[in-house]
Amino acid sequence: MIEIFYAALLIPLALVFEGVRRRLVARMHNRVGPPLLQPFYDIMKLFSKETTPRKNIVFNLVPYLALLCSLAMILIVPFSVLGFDYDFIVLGYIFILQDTFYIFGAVASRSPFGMLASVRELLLMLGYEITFLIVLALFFHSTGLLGFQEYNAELAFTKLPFASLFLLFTAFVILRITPYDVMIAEPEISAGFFSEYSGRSLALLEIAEFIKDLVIYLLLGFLIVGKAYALLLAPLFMLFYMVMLTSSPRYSTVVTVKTFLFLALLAFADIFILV
Amino acid sequence: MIKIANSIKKIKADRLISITSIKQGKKNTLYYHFSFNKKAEIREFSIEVPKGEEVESLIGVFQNALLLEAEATELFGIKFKGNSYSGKRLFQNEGKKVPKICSVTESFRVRKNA
Amino acid sequence: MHEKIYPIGPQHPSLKEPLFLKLHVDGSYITKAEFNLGYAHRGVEKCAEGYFLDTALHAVQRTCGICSQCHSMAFLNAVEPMTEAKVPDKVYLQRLITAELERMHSHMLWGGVMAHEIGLETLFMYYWREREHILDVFDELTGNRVHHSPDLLGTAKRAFNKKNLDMVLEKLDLIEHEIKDLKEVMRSHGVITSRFKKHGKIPKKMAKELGLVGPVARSSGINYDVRQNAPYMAYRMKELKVKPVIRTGGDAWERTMARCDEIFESMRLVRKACEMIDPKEDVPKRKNLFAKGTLGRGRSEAPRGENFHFVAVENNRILRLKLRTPTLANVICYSKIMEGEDITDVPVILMSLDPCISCMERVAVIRNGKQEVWNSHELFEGRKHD
Repeated sequence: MIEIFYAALLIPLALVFEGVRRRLVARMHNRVGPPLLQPFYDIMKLFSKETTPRKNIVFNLVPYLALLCSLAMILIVPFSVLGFDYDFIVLGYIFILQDTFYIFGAVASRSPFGMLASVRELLLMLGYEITFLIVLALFFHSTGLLGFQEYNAELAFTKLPFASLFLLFTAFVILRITPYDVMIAEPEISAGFFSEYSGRSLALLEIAEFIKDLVIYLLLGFLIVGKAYALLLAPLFMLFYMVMLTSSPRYSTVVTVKTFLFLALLAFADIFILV
Repeated sequence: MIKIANSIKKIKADRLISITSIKQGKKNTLYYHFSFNKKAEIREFSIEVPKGEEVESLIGVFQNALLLEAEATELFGIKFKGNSYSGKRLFQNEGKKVPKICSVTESFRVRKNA
Repeated sequence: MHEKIYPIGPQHPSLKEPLFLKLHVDGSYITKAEFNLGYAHRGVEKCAEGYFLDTALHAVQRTCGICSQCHSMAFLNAVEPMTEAKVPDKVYLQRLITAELERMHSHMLWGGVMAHEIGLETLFMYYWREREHILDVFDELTGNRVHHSPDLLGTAKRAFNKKNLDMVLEKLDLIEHEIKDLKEVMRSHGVITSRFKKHGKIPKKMAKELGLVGPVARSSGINYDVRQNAPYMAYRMKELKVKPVIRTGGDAWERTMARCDEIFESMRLVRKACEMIDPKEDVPKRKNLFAKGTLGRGRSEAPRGENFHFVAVENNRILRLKLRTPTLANVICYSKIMEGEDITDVPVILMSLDPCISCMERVAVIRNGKQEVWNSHELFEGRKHD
């Protein structure tokens, strides 16, 4: 029962992680950066602004559904409040479901920016979805266990080097790190996904994004190194991804899609070697 | 219509720099500035446009006359025959009444309560 | 095939100033582009009308934040020959130093914005950090970081002394090494070269027909720079002869390289001018000058091209002032080079042409804390002179 309390504490922790992340990126840019609790101030400010008028039912529901997906993620991953057999498949499904809700919201917003963003996101999903599910299955297959509650492998990257590498690459897209953030590319499509939301809806979408980021950092530590070290290693993974973020520009869309399709092919090949 | 395109073609200027119109009383004068030779000397050409007359457009000779003539049309009402630029160049809303002058603080209060 | 209209602007994160580009898009390729201007028209020409020459200079200097000194120089080129002012060499050299430093800071601002368009935020922040040093120099020399207005008719507001000139040279030494590194990134980074090359190509014939100016024309092969072809003020001295940067090719990468090279050329001019100034000399006092003659024309080289001012003076007051900014001359090519390009390349091409829309163009006059908005009829029929 105490695990529900720990899982609930992850929500403010996600906001603090985001604050630390912004400060870290600012320091790498040779500037000072916002205060550490800035995401709290942003969310409170957003709640006090007016929301865009009601367009249609899908557009209005998407922020709530996306937040529900994020909360479902917390219940599964680090503390396994809800653990059952084959729950890693459900976790992969929840990630994909959240992305699908974003695409629905972008298309329902009826703006040209949203249309373009949704097309790009669909192209990228072709690549990383398959890889993600295959890699998760490989990790659990190698230990023979069936769920996150029972997972106890330590230092799994020594036994599964390629699967860990593919997991690291897939996290690039889920976290929207720069070469692969074509769907929220600011100058080109003015933040296509979120450009029509404002006020309360945008606040909920932002919270969903922050929670998803924290879950990915914890998941990487959980699977690759070990259950006990997940929380300790999350900052290190964040540092690695932020170095990648600040040092790479965006390629053209065609090139980014090609890299991910190539990775999906490699993941397929990996099934037969089981490594 | 005042025809100028042929005589300007004969001058053989390098580049059209700008088109200005000056209104003094009821008289409207159009000044054309051209750039010649390597030293980029400026030479001026001016015509007087009586009210209501159309002037031939220079788009056939110099393509950048499109926007320069549109500005003279919008500000002074001189029509150029052959210039079909339909977009607005300077003024976005035309013909609206001047809003009632109020102080800045009053307008903020009105907007906040709306 | 479906054809949709994709709007860029008037408000868009990739544009720094409002400009409306209507793109007719088929899938992801552009078939036609139209543009609409006038969102930032502030009526500088009308503001200067009816005032004495000094007051009009005050209005003209505030046309644009990035290129304020070049407007001032073009206006003075038009007006000073009409008065009988004898301007000493020191004032000309001071104006040159401010103008060239402004060119450097404008190109650095532009370099950062180009990096931001493709997502390389780090390069953007590094460029703007170096630019802060130049703004500190402006603060020391003229008292203001952005709208530095050090000029008066026939003279300058203050004379540069030894401490100012030492600071200029010190700051230039500080930033030179860093700018060389940043230029190397722009030249050789794989993603930058692949995204900039072969996009937004302007052939030399098109540049000549449309009468383009500035680094846009110079990187298509046209050899035209006002400082070289029709020198004015201190550029007439033979030690300060300008060698403009000419490149062939005409695509976005060539324009990037041309602007990066121009920063070094400006640095050389500033260093030479600082050597030539006599720090102990003083500038003449401000005098009321009377303008004889009616029409004056002046040109200067702004960071974006050739800036042309046409002044009609009547009875020592300005009858009509016309500014033809370089962006207005270049805007005619926006619709022609967008055809056939992909939407993802539009911000890159647009920023490589370096638009400075606020120079080009609603009069909102604020007097005594009250705000009035005029339309075109009121503007040109109902204005009374103060």
